[in-house]
Amino acid sequence: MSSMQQIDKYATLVGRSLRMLFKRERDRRRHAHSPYAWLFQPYMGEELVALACQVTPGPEPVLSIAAVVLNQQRVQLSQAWQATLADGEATCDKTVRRHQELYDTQTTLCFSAHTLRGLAEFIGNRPLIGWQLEQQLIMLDSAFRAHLGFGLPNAQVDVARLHHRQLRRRHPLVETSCQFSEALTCWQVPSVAARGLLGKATASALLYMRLQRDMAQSG
Amino acid sequence: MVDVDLSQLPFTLLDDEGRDHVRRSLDLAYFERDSVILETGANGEHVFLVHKGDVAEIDPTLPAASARLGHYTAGDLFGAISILNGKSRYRFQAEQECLCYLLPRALFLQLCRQYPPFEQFFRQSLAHKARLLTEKRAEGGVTMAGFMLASVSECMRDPLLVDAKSSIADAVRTLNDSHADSLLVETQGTLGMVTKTDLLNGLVMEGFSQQTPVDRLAHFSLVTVTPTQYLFEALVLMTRHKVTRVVVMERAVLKGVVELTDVLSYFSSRSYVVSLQVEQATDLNALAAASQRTPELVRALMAQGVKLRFAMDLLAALNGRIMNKAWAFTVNETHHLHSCLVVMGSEGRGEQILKTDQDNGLILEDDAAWPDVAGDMQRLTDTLIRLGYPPCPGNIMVSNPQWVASVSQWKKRIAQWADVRDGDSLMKLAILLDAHAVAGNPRLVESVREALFERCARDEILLSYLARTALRFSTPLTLFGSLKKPQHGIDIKKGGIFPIVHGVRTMALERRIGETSTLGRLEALADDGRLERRVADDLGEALSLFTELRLKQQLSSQAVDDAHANRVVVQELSSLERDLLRESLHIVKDFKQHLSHRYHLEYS
Repeated sequence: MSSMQQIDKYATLVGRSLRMLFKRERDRRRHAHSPYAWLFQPYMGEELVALACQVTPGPEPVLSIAAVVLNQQRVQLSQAWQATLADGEATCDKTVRRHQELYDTQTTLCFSAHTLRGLAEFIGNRPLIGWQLEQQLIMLDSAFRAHLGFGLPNAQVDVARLHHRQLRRRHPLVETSCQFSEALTCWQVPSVAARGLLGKATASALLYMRLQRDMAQSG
Repeated sequence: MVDVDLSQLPFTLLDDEGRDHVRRSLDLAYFERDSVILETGANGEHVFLVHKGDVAEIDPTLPAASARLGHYTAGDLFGAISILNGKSRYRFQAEQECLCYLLPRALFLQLCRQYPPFEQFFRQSLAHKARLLTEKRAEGGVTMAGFMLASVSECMRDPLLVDAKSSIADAVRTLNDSHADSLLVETQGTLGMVTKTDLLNGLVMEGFSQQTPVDRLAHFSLVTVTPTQYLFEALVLMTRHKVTRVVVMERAVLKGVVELTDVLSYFSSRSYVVSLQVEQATDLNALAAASQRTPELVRALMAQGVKLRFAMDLLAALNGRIMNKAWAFTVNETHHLHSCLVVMGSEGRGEQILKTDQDNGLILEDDAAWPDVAGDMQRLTDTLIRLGYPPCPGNIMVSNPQWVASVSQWKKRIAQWADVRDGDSLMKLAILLDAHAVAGNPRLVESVREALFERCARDEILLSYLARTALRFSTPLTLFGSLKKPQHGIDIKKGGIFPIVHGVRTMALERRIGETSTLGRLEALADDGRLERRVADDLGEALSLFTELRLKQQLSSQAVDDAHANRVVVQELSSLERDLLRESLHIVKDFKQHLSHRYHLEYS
């Protein structure tokens, strides 16, 4: 198990572009003496954070986030972090309400250093997982850069990539699809009784756990 | 926030605020197959609400067969009682991969304080469970008590007393005649015991001749008990004195002998005693007495949890022996070689556990001379009725001349039935397919069966007519695949047993399988490749389950011919049994589909 995890971390590291690596290293050095320094420390624990984001782009973007902590066995649903982030007073009310309805978020916060610090503290230096994580994080990453001065420093695991890799390993000729729901049925991950974005984050956490087991079994 | 369904008990005992609180505090945990979720004696930290998968509640101190106390599936709740008690009494183990919602201990206790009915619910189910457990113990205990309270007189044999002057050769002859292991000799007012081993030692080691008086071998130091002593006292005496038989005396009068094998089989299941009684019966009265003990034997076997399949085999063998004896008592030996008594229907398949009606027939050799066959057969039927086999309502008995015929007549009838193909003929063909010889010359039934296969096995139209009967009764499942729950119960015979038995019978006819028991046929069909091994095993297990449920029902309702004896009330079953029943009925449904596909019954 542990060796598999090592390889996974390695693979995800290589998967990210070298440019990202340099950026992160630059951020780390710049913030070595700021209160955020600990976010750049390598994470030695067992926990991960499953993340799901939805963005409505435009001049005043609205962003909904759900993040939930998981370890090998447990998804800590009760301590999930979810919110809709919008730009202060200029917020388009309709969009925010739609986000709250669609993604079942109950708190609305404005994009500010304070809010993002809260999120950063929740996530900490734990690795992030999510379905097609890079796309999901583009908006959040730029918000971090704008308000805190650095991008999300965490290690990232794209569950979609893990899914494709494991599927190819098992059935080399199969056509893989990019649909999240299809991946869930493919690995027989049960639907979770959490709605909206939190449901998506939890489902990706379960899918990650499922894939980890599968990799451990197939060796 | 988790949108988990809290509209079930016990959460309905909370108000909206409480439910909301629960929703906010649930975590999700994953458990691998066979992993222990909550160990015996562990402190309960969470209440578990199963979201997916199966969890078994196990008492690790019990033997594996009875260790499973409970079974939880999606929507069920466990672990609450562990929190209320402080620690878990049993082990909870994931039977499959499981997802459970976790409700933290602190919140659960807080809810218990805030909502007394909520706490009451768990206290109640705790009491309920405890009651169930004691009931379960008592159930096994009553039968065991029956054994423990048995007295010597219930288990002793009649003494076999020979004259002191009789020779060894005589003694051996007497022993063989009465199927005994030991005899008693009386010389000058004292009793002595001679066993088979003594006889052997006398002849071989001591070199006595066969004419030596038997009292030279006897042991005169006997261990005695009185008829009113408990049987286990006799067992203790045997162990203490290192002997295998004790003599029963009442006020210096010889009453009988108790042998170790008798005691042990009495304590185990009495199967040995019953079969011995059957073998030793020299007249009808003794046979009837032995025959009446078979239901008791069934109950004892069931109480001990003997697998039904083996119980059925044992019972089939016993019933066969009883009929054979009855036949030997009523039919002159000259007729034994050119006639054959066959049992049919459930008896023929060896699946009759309690004595249901007799279905039997007689096959005669073509040139057999037996003028008074009708009279003899009437007497045989009467004898069987006396032995506890009620008459067949459909009159499929040897007393009915329709079911007595020579081999060539039988063949003619088969051809006729196969041509007509109406309901009555098909039923007769099906009954005849299960024919199994119990007495007389078994070659005759083989030749009839051969003719039956020859005529019918390739007749696709006949096979499809025959198979259609299996679809006659609907499977008691709802449109959504769950059990139907009518108040008067579901008919397990029509819904479960009959389709399997009849479908397998039809396939066995097609593949010319001479085996008559359904389980044997399934085995043969799997060997043959006609059925997948897995399917055959599933069907066999399903059939065993149905038979077991029916047997329980029959034992409790006492009257076998009662219309309710086949009805299983789903609401009264445990959740595990209900699950098993539902799975089994699904297997039946699939099998029916298989049948209608194979025999083209879609449009008929």
